[in-house]
Amino acid sequence: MKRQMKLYVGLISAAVILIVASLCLLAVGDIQLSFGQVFKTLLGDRSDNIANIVVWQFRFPNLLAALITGGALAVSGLILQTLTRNPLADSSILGINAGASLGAVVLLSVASRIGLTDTSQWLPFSALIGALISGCLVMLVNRQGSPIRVLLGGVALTSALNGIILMLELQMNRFNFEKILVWLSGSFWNKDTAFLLKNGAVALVLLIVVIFFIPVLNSFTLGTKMALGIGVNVKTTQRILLLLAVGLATVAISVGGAISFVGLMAPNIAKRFMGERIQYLLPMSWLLGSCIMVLAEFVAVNGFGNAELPVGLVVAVITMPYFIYQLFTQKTQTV
Amino acid sequence: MSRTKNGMLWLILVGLLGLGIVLNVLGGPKWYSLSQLWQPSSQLIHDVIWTMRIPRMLASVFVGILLAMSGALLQTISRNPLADPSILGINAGANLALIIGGVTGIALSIANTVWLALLGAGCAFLIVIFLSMSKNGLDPLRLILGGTIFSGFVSCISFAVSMITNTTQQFKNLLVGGFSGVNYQQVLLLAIVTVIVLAGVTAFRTGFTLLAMDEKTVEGLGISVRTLWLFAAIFVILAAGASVAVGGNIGFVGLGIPQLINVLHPGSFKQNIGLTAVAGGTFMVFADLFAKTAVAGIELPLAGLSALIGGCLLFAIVAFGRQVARS
Repeated sequence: MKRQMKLYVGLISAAVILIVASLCLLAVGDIQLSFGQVFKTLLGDRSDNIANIVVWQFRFPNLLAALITGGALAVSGLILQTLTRNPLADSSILGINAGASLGAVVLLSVASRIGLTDTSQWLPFSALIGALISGCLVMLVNRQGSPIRVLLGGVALTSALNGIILMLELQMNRFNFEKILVWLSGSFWNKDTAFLLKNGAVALVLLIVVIFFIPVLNSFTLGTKMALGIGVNVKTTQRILLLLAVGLATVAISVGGAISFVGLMAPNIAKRFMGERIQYLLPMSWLLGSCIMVLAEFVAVNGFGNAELPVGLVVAVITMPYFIYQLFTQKTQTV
Repeated sequence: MSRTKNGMLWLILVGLLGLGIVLNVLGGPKWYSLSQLWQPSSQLIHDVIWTMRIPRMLASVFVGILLAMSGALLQTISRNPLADPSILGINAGANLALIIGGVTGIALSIANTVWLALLGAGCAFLIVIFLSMSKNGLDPLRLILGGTIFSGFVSCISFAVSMITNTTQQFKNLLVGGFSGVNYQQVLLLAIVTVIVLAGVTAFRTGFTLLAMDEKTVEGLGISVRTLWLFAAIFVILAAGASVAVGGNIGFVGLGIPQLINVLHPGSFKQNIGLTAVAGGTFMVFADLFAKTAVAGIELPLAGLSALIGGCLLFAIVAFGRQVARS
């Protein structure tokens, strides 16, 4: 009972942090708003014109994008870690993010060649194709059975794909690094509310599907043999879960570009507080992933005076040292 | 048998290098015919060849030699077949130091770029050593993985610094790699460093070769491992720092070339270092030629090109190689 309480307290405090961070993101900026103004506007009060425009036009899309990407990446990372039984796995280190990015970049580059302007409805598909291809390639290495090898294979793949992305992007928009970095390290590049809502809806559907798989994921934490013993159709469910993870990552990347390691960091921190059970880990990972993205966006927008950094760079600067720390302090047998 | 094979390889590589040098000078946005080299039809062509193309070609050759040798050195002393200055973040460190230096108002003269790049490369090297001394760092694959992420981390900071200060245009060459706009001063710098590293490696070649064996044997032979290590580290930092100062963010040459030479001609460090150096220069001169001529009107970023080739190679080694698995 006491343990149960602790878990709920953990979840609630993470939720509170996320809400406070979101409010800060909405309130702080070039035009300062009070929390009261933000609340009122969010509740539908249209009397304060400035607050209305600033919140709904400028800042809400950022928040929405942060919530979609952070949550989707975190849950995708959790699934991948559970499936591969590798605590350091996530969609970015396995090369899935880079694959999705390349898919998107190839589409954009082809579209600019043939003069197509509206690509937003095709983007998720091309990103998904890229993600699936790179996911399959990495799974090739997985057959070798060494967890570090898989990660290194993913990193190598990422590096190769990023090379292609860099070359394609430099041809498209010369030396506009802001745009290039979207697909290398991540940035909220399309803040159109309709686009965000569509992707958000897809992410939501995928998350709900994941909820149905919680018992299966729990059985996987015990190992595939155990799962088989309990009566899980291991092969099929593994494939479905892998697809879900890739799908979630693809949605995140369509919105925010190749954001790195959120899917690694959020579930790992969540595990510290929540233990191994997926029914608690899943919401906690989602909350923490969203928190990381919202806070990173806050820093990216407000941390550097007049310059606005791509959010992916801020995320990378936080999450990459965390990965290195995890890699070198972990007990050897787990990896 | 081995000797003739060795000789053949030398012949082929030197021939390729010569061919690459000539093609690199002739190629560009506009191809020149061979006769223009000694009988330029106009003053403009003469100037283009002598003030732009020749220094550029020389820089690419030297950078190739330096990166390949530093990779071979690192692989030998760390006994890790995947080690490479760019994979371990040493190049990225030099890059970051140069950008920070430029942003904080240090004029990027040749002298300043040298010490900045060396400082950055040195700091990054120390961090990697520190990581490798941790409990898990001895695992070769783990060290490479950590190094790659560390390298990415440092690159991200470079991008961030340069974007905050709005200087991406200014540091274009550093960020995406390339030899456009190289001048003779930079070539001189590279030449000096190349001579130092070549001389140093030749002087210590037996020692480095023995370092590849296990430490006890080396000590039993009365060789000071520490001194050798120190010298090797200095050479690696010198080579990587100078390469980055001129060519920017070019990676993976130090991984691929020594591996390739080792496949073509399996042998010790001593036997292969010369071949590795020539092959490095050859590779770079062709890579640069490709970068400036493959797509009309645009220069491909060498950082992207090298990452593409190197990434594929690393992936192949990890996915299909067997010898890497044992530590």
